[in-house]
Amino acid sequence: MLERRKGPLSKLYPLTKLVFLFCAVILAIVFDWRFGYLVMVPLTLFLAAFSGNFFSFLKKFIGALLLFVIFVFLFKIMLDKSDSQILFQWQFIVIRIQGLIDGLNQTSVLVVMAAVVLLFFETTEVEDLMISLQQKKVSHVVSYIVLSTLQMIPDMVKRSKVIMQAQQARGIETEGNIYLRMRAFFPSLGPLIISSISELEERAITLEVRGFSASVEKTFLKDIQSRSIDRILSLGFIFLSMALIGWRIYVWLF
Amino acid sequence: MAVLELKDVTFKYQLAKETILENISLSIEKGEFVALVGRNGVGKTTLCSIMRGLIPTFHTGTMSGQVLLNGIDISDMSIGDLALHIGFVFQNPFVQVSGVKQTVFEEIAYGLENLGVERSEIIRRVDEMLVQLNIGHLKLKHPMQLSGGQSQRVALASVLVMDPGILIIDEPTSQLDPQGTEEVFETIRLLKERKKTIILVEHKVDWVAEYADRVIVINDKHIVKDASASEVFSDPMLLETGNNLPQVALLALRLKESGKTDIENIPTTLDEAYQQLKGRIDHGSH
Repeated sequence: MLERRKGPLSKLYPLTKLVFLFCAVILAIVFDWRFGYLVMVPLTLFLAAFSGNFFSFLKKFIGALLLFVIFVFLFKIMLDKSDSQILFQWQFIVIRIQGLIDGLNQTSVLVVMAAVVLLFFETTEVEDLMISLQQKKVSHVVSYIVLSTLQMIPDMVKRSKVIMQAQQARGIETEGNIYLRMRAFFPSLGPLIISSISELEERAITLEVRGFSASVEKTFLKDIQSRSIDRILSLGFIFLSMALIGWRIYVWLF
Repeated sequence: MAVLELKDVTFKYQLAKETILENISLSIEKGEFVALVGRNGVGKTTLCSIMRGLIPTFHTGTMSGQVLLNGIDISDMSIGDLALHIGFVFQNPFVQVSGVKQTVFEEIAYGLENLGVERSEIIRRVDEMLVQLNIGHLKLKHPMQLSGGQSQRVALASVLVMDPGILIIDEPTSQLDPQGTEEVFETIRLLKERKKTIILVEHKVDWVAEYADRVIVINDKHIVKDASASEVFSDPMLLETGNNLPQVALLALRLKESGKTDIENIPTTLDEAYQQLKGRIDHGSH
């Protein structure tokens, strides 16, 4: 069948990557900012490059996090009144080492979460994930809901553009300042929501006609199999995470 | 024995003031090709939805009467399991897309995945369907990025590939050009040869006259005529119900009315007209 994502990571079983994702997030919660910024961010960048998705990944990563991270850092730096070492000072702006570390700690889990989730979707077809979940006996209804919801978002964006164009064709101003845009946006919400709801009903009928709830065991056109490397990697991630968490607990206690 | 039987079916949509269909009774035999004709809004699609069991499950309303599939009341069957027996191609192909598949090939295969068909068999059947409906060039395209005609063929392929015994096809050629229409009817002819039971809603009466065994005319909530295609389409009364007659039948009727010919059997297909004309020319030339 058509291979839409290429690269070595896309060949891994989706659940293997999901295990990696969960392990990384748990470790980011347990460890401080150094794990997130010094281990996971370089690692995900390396993996994205290894898989041939570096620039696409980087663009999404920066796009998703830059504003948030800057905002949290500014917030932390401004509020920091500790007597730690001053790194930079200009008029009323004072950047202390403690403020910087607080900022890093506050954002570390989110940065790791965003990095691994983005890397996951950069290297995994959503449909492949759903197939692998169904292979693990997750209900096909649940997997359809997740899959169709994820695929509905771009469809709704496209439909909203069509509605806006229809508004334009009727002479409604949709370009210009924020006030004009808002005035054009709200009336388009009604048709968008109504058409989406009506499509849901039609979609349900379509699914029934295509045997969605037929009482037989489903098969899959895509041949997605967990290989030995997947099992080794999954177990490796789990054992490594457990060892690191154990070590962390040991350091805390003693 | 009838494969599909409707007994005294009456239906009213939930918010409608009046019933759309009243006391509909009909019986369809295995391998029969039945066409439903009637003007717009007369209840043809409603009747199809009733036969498929989508009414009253999805389109709610008040329904009385019985629909029997091989003698079993379909209200006793699961709507999902009905897909194993009855295929339904919608009037609007754009709503017949699963919404979860990225290519036409995968879209056509989706129904087979749901029915638990083996992977190798899925590939074989989808490939066969792509050739049969002449859509091989679309197989890697996204199902949401097709033209009306392309969508219509993909929708038809998606249901035909499931190989149900009964096929309900609602206006499958409404968005097709003449060549596409011919290809679809050729596919339907092949299905008829394979003893599939076909229920077709179609306004292109010239094609219906060529292919259908039996035509049911619906008007004003009731079945007003149920007979062979040649009998229905040679009857000028059909025009009074807002339907059309095949071009050759109209021509023959007009000639008859003007007294230009003493034709007795109104031809309804091109072949019948040709045979009659040829006979007269041959007769006249000798």
